[in-house]
Amino acid sequence: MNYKIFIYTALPCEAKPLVEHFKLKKRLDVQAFAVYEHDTLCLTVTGVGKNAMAAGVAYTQALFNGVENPVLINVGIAGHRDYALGDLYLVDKIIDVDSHKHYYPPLIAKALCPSNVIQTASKPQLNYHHGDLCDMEASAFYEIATRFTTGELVQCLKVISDNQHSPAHLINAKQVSLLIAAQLATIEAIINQIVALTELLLMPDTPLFEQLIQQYHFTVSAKMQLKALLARWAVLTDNQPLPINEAQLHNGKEVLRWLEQQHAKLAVFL
Amino acid sequence: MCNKSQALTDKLKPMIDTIYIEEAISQHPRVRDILARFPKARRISCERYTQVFNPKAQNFRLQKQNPALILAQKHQHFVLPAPAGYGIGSARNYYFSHVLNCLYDCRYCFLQGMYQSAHYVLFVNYEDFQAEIEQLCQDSPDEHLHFFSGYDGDSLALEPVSAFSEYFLPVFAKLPNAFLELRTKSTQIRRLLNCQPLANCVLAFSLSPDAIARKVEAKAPNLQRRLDALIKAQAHGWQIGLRFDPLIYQSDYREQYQQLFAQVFAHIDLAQLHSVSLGTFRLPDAFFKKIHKLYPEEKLFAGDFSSQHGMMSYRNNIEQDMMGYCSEQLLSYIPASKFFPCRL
Repeated sequence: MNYKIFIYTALPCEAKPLVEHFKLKKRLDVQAFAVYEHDTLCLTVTGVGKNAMAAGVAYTQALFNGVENPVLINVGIAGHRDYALGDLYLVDKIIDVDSHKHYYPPLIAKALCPSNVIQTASKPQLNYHHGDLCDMEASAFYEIATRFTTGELVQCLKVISDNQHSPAHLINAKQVSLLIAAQLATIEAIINQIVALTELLLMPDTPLFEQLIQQYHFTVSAKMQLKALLARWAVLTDNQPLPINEAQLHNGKEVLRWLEQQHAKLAVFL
Repeated sequence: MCNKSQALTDKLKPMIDTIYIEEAISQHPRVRDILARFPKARRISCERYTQVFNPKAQNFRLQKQNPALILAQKHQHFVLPAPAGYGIGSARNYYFSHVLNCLYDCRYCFLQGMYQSAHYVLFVNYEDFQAEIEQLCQDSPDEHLHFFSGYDGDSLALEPVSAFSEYFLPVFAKLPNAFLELRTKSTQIRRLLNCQPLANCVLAFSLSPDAIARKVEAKAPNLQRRLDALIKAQAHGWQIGLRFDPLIYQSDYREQYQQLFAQVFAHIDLAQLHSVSLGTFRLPDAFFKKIHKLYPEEKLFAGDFSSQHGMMSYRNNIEQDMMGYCSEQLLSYIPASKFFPCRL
């Protein structure tokens, strides 16, 4: 299991084009939510509303815990007073209508689609009287998702499904799937942009660490010291191999002492 | 807006594509002026800048890829006492921050450890800063008060957007017992060249050896461009400050700093040199830990450090060697009266 990207949709019809496009397979052993997966991508259909979304995000992240810097994306439909059906928006501000909390997903990547404010409410907002997007999940998604990763890797993408000329009661599942499917290329490009950011969060490799802790006994604090010394060596030498001779080192303390001696010999150049 | 100012703003346009605006100041003249300069930027309203700037789930390194500008209003603590060791000759030192964060991306900068966000916050209510500065000066008419503007961000780097010096230089011109330090790595000195130099202001340039600056001062003007700006400002009559802080260690630091000092003092008119300060790289422990975690591959943090009294700095022998060597070098160029070493 090496998931990196987690997509959350409220409805099966929102998920359907994504499942087909990314060739996702349903996990039959997971019962609480419909979870699909392939390669590094995992999609969860949470159900409608803030509670369902919060539960779906938390459940999936707990199920696949241990992922470093996961990317979490909410893809779904939203209403707007004027915007044309099918247009895609990145959410730049989330207003929870019930709690009056505001959230600001940090927008780092180059804009591939316009952005807009979204109002999330527990009940459908059907009067189209303001200029913000409307949905029923974004605030809960963002609040819970940012417990598992940094805000830059948490984004909401909304496709317009209804407006004052084509109100919400006219929406049907087939149409929703078509609207999302028409935006798949942009959705994928935005996800790729966000995934690219995670490259900046990679920790330096210290492959010798695992080998040495198998070979010698280290206390917990000595393990931390070992890891720091190995990382420091890798950084200062641009990943040169350590000239270690295990035959001459009989215990963890000697390994640490030897590493410190190697460091003392290093010239430091930025 | 004059053409030069427009040209400077144009340079920043690709760098600022999102602007957050506090609702209460959306009609502030300074806000309207700044927004007019960035017509294509995405605008997002917020109640308080802290809603955007302070949340924990943010990554400074990621945001530094594309920081937004936040236009905000400061409500209190406009002027604060400067930390110990920050002075250049006065017993009473203060700093004020019209801006939080910096255009540049210097790896040693404490701001990376202090703030959750890399967005630039610009407090537009300059008049309130002015009132508190004036009050402090009036309260102590017989004392000399030093004010530092480049503590939480470069004093001049955002000048095309902030028009900071345009506003504050005339303020300080009327305060005989105040002294202002503009600390910068920027070359944004056009406004200074278009006005009369102030006797109670020093333009202080932070300088590092070119080879070191290239490694740890990303996005900042290179040494030669900073020196060019310094020479122009000096020729125009401004007092100059030199800030060799932080000194950065590498094995050949002696050669690096010897060359730097020789290069700098070849151009300095000692009569207009106000002060020289010096200090080794140091950070509060918590900031060091946070920044190291953000940049684990960074050689700067793989040096030989130790923590003393909550402050992480080079081991004593290295710190003392560097301070001793660089002090000796500097004192061969300048009198001791102009030298302000910062010891831990």
